[in-house]
Amino acid sequence: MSYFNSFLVVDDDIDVIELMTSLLAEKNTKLLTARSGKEALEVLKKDPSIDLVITDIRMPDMDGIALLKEIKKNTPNIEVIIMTAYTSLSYAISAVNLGAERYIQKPFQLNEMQLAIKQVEDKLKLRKENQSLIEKLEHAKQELENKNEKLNQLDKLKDEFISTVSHELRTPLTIMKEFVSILLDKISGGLTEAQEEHLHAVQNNIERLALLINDLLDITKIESGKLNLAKTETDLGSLIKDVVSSFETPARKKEITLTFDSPSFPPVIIDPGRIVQVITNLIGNAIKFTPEKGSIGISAEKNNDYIEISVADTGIGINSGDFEKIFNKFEQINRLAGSGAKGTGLGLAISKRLVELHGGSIRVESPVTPDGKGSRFTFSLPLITNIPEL
Amino acid sequence: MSNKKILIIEDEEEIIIALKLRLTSSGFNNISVATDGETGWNKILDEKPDLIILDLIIPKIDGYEVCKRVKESSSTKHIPVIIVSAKGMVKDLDKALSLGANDYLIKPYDWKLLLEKINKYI
Repeated sequence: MSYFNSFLVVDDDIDVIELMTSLLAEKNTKLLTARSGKEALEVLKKDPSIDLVITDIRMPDMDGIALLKEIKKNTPNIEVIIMTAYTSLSYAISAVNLGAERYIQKPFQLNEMQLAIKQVEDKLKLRKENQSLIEKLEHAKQELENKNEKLNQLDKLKDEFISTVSHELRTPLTIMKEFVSILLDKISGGLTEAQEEHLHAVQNNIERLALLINDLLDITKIESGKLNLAKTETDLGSLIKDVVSSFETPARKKEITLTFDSPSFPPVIIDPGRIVQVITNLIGNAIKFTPEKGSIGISAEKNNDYIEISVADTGIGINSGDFEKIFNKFEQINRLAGSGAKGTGLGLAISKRLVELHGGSIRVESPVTPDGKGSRFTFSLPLITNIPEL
Repeated sequence: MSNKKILIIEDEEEIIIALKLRLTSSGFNNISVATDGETGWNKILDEKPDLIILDLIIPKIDGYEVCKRVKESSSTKHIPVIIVSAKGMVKDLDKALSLGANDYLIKPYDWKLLLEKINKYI
């Protein structure tokens, strides 16, 4: 297979034309001829498929160098081989400088001309391959761009959908919550102990649904980069103390000892609401997964430029193989077989992202007790004041 | 027992019932209700309530606009407006507060918290 479409041989010497004709016949490519530079230009104008011009230098009307200049000016992709009886090196140099592919001295050996044509062919072949690669790349790029655009649209749709659904869910939830709490507050009459217990179950699950809606909205906001932190100088110690005391009642119910140790450290620049959310999630999980009469220890200490907050429990612990998984969305490993204690599956994923938005990180260790139980979640918050805005 | 007048602007019938039940059992007997923004705005002008509990997504005139009108008119701008809405995005909150709303509760709201806020402004 030839990479040439057609050749043009230009020479005022009919012998050369004939020689070249027989030489190129085997190439199975269309061959055109011209007897002068001017005629060559005419032929080139008529036939745009020409990709190789083999021309003599000295010809009537227009010489080969002038022809080369014209060709390279208008159609730089057409390759040119110059042949001449001139022995002057300066011709050769100026021909190559003007963009001729090869310079061949007459009389030439046949194999010399064949080699020259072969080299031009290789160059054409490479150029065609490059061209097709570029086209493929362009095509793939276009396809990627289209897909990306489609994904962006889908993502936007998902955000809108979740936001709308969440809001639509809130109204019936409000009505349910309000009437259950009206019943529990005995505004519409007394309740038996069993009725009260059942209504508490309803109330707890309404709270769970409300939390799920909030978590869904949060994760959607975080993933679409729309969650902005409202950072302010905060006394982290007293913030943690408040969260810990809000868990005293559920801890007491399971006879779990809840302790908080914290040395004093300088105020940090954080979004207090979001950090409360993280600590609440960690202590809530710890209470959920710690059996009765266990203990949960919360601590905060300075470690270089960070403050590290830890929540350690004496629960069943976590397999090291699950350490990464638990921070994924909707990932709930079976920490307490048969237990009804279930969350939304979003708490740790949200906590991780909230900590990262603050420029910190979160990790888990397990087991943490000498008898091979428990887990400890530790997250860090930078002490520096110039946290990059994310 | 309080004779302070509270206007509820809310289009969900059952939320109105729950709110009225809670308000009356907390001693507020002077309660007025509007189920769309236009009626709400007219009642604000006619009845001059002492406090407004306002939903954002309501027919005819939305809650933002009602809030804006209350806070722009010299005869009503002193009336406290507590937004109680299912819209829970920060931008919703920011918008309502920038229009002059005194407080904002996201549905499902906690009654004790709402009562605390009512008592704070009345």
